[in-house]
Amino acid sequence: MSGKRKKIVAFLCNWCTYTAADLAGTSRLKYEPDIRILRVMCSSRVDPVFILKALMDGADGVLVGGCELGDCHYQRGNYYARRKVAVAKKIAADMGLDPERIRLSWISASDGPRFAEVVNEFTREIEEKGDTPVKHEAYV
Amino acid sequence: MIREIPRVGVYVCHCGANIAAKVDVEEVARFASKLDFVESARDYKFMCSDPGQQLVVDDIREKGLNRIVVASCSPRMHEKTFRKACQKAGLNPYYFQMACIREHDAWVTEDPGEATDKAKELVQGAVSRVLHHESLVPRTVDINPNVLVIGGGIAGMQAALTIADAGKTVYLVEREPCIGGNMAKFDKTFPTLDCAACILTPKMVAVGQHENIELLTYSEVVDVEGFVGNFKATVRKKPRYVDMDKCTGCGVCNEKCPAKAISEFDQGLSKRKAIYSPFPQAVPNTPVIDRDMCIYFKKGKCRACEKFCEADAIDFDQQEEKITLDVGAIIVATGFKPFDPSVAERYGYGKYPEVYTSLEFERVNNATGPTEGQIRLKDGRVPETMAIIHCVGSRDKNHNAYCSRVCCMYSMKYAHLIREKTGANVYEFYIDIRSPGKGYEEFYNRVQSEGVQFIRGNVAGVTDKAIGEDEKGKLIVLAEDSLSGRFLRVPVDAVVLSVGLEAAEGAEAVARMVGISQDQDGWFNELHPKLAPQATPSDGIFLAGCCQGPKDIPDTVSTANGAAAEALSLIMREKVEVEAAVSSIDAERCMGCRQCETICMFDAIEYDSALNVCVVNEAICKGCGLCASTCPNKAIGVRHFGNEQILSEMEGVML
Amino acid sequence: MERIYEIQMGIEELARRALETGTVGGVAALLEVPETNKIAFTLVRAPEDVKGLAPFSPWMLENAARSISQMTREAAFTQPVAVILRPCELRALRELVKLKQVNMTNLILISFDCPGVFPIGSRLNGNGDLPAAYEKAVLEGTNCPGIRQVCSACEEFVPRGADMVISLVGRSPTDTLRAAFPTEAGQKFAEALGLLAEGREVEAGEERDRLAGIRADEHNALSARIQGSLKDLDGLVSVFDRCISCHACRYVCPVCYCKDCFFESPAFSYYPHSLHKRLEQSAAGLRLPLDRLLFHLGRLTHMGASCVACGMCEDVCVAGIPVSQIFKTVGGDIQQMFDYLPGGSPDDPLPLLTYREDELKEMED
Repeated sequence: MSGKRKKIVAFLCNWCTYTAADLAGTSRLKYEPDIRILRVMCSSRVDPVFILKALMDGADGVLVGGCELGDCHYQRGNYYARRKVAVAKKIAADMGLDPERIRLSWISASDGPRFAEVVNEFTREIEEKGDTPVKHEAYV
Repeated sequence: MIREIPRVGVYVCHCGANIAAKVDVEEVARFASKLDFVESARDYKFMCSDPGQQLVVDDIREKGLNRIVVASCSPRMHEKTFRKACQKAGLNPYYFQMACIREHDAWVTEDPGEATDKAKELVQGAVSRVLHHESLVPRTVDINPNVLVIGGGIAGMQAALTIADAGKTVYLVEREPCIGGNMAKFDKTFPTLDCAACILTPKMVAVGQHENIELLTYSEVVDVEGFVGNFKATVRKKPRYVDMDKCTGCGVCNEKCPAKAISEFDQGLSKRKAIYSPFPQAVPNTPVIDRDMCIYFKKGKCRACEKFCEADAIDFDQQEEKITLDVGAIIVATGFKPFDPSVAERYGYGKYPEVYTSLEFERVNNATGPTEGQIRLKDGRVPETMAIIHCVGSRDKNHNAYCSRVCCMYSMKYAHLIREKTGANVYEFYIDIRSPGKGYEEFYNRVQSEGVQFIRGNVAGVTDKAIGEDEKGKLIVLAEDSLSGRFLRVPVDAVVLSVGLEAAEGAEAVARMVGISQDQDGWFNELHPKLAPQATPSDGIFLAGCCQGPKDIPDTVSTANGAAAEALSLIMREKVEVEAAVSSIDAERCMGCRQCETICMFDAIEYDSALNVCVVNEAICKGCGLCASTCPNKAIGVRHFGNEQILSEMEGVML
Repeated sequence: MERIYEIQMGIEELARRALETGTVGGVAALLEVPETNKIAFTLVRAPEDVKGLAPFSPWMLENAARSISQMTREAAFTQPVAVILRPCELRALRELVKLKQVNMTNLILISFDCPGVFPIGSRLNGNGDLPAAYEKAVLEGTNCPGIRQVCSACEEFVPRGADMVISLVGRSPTDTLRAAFPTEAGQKFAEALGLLAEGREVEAGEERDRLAGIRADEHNALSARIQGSLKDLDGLVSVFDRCISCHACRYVCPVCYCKDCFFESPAFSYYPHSLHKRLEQSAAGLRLPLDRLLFHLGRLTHMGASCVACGMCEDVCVAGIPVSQIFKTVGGDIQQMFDYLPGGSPDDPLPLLTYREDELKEMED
């Protein structure tokens, strides 16, 4: 695989952000190819451990995507998700990992362009940061 | 834990050229064939076609495959298709995983090399995940055969009638005192010029009299719980202060009531009483007492209505009531509200009395309206010239960017009516004329031939600042004629603003209640804009009419019937399969800490005090997975979205 | 201001009287027989067994919340039991109440302002001069050298939610008890033993405030030290590389209440093929066993918000990783983010079971 590309793992909720990603596709919006999308039913399914594991396994970035606040398919899941991501970010920050490699975005199902924009923006930020140091350490 | 030796089949779809033009599908298949546990990997033109699915079926049977990965479009598109194919071949459908290499790759990636690399990783993730899949059996639950329809406009009425005619019970809930919605306010309908009341009244009566329809007017749905086939809706019945069983609808109370209020139905152009029916043909014809305007409620005496009511139907002690309805399906038909042009100051609405909104003008035209159908200026004169301004609030980035679809046509209807009733000159200021529909273009031609002047141009404003003598006492419409490039000042006696349509007041609360989403403009999102236009991502919730976007009456009625057909199709099944991918708790691991019980948004988890463990009620669980990510013990797993499954897919896409 | 009474007896006498009068059916506390070097958290039932009761002895062999949890999780005590706990043990206990791992029925909670404990390893060579130095520090309201690092940086050394709070800082072991009874249950307990009638009200000493000041400074220093050592990945790896994955830290943690640890579950097992593939892909090779560091990060996600910084984990770490100092620092940050004190108010829900609509704006977009 081409070495210069980053590894960005995205956990997207089925109802909004994953659908927005589908919509970005059907609208043929072009965006950076570094992202790898995983589907979860709700952003609240994302265990902070998943995020930290991704970073420790050498992901350059982790994106968590959910419905806009107030629009969660399961009512309030994204509010809980936000606390979970906050915990992951805090732990990352305190434990010598870069919390800015974790991003939480609310993207509604109808907002394909926003999805493409977030991916491009996040990819650019990660590229500016360069490879995760985990890559050059032995797998930790 | 992997419990048997997996034998994975991988199928890479070309999707014609949709995928193959960008992704080297053969290369992806070659790559997949080298992955661990992959028994066979191939590419094919259209996996979703019958022969494509047959490939999967045959391979399962002949090669003994026990895990299937299809790399093609989004699972939201075809996951069910391939699950069925697996099932056909005797493989549990949950031994299937899809890699989305079309929407998430081929269509969005510029460079073919990178698209191919990405496809490989996505396939690797899917293969890695499918190794950890478990066989699941979808559960079935009984479906309650009743249907709830929210909104009693033409959409809700039509849906209710169609379902009721099929012999099923419908609860039709309308928040206003009577049904009919916006359509009841209209005068004529385009392009046939039938009178709206003539076609609507029989429908309203049919709804009111149907033995299978329970009509709940002056009522609002305030809560919806449950899931497909088994919803529980709470309806708040506002007090009418008139006993519906006793009232004969004679109208004496209305005559005798001394308190006057602005008529909402007539868009504020006339007065009504404190006890009133919105319009004469209202269904039900039981009036309501407007508590805020009633003298008795305000000052403690009057009761004129009560005195004169021979049926003894007035009941000042009526209280708000809450009832619960058990239904299997819900049709949302909450309609639209007209754009409020007072926020667009340049049109002078609210400033100049002779500037009307379209709905106001409908009432002016209507025989039961404030002028009994005559087009008159406020001073009683017959107008000599009138302007109709299109796209007010629509196709306007400052307000709503979308086209409201119906305004061109109703505007031309007005032009026709004005010409017919008054002979006045009519100017139509339009951006584009949109007349797609049966007989619509013909109507446009007809109106043109009737001498209506069409001016293509955006209106800059409406003013009463006259320059010349001919402008004195007139309203002057300022516009650029974009065909000639000239700037025009057109003096007129009255202006009609063709306001666009917006999602109804309270749409957001309804969306939240039934668990559906709104697009950026507030319209409800359908499951698929083309192929599932009446369904929503929430099973058992369907959409009818303008709540999903502006529509004319024929389309509204069609979608209402579409929604009714979907609801019927659901409830006639009697049983429904519900998602097998729900939570389950391993009692061996559970410590009874009850964090899951606390956090569950659906009260789907109960605590078993005898065993000191929590238990999932699978019929209620929606499979969001919040409990699973919360349980530190990981005694809770979400089936099909378990930790191993998610983490192994993650591992796969990252290798 | 709480009212402090001087009581004309020592802790042994108090326990004996509570048992003799039938006010309690048992007393649970640290019991020590110095001559034979025996020491254990013990539940005694007979008045004659209270000899050697040493709740103030500067040792913690297990965070007592774990023991109480074990005893009451499935079935509550049927008669009153007085438990004498350190503040961090009490906070752990109160945290476990929220996690439904403790039944507080019939528990009378006795605690004291805590001067800290020594690492268990200090007992290996006999206690030596430790007791004398400790007594002096307690009397003066200072940190005794050699106590657990997290103890010397502990600002939560005054108990919350105890029925009886004994003043220890500023007192000598031969002094009679001084105590407050902040709760209704505490008042009843005191009355039943006649403590209020016999006792006389006294003023609190200044030593507690002095110690609080010292602890605050130490806390800042500790946080700075830990943050400095974990400022980047290199720091993280250097600190945790000597971890032997024994997971002893989680076994002794009072708020790690899981039967089977998630990180020992199949979700974290690797299949040979994926290991080989990782090796192929990794530029720098693999540190084995895998997920050794992730265990600590993951454990923080589970109990960081509830960490009471008792120091048990660090005590048992054979690799000498400053586990509790790290968890105190990171956990403290998580707690601060959610404005939550573990074992604080019983009305505060666990941070991950709740949310506020208008919070954490900096975390999202």
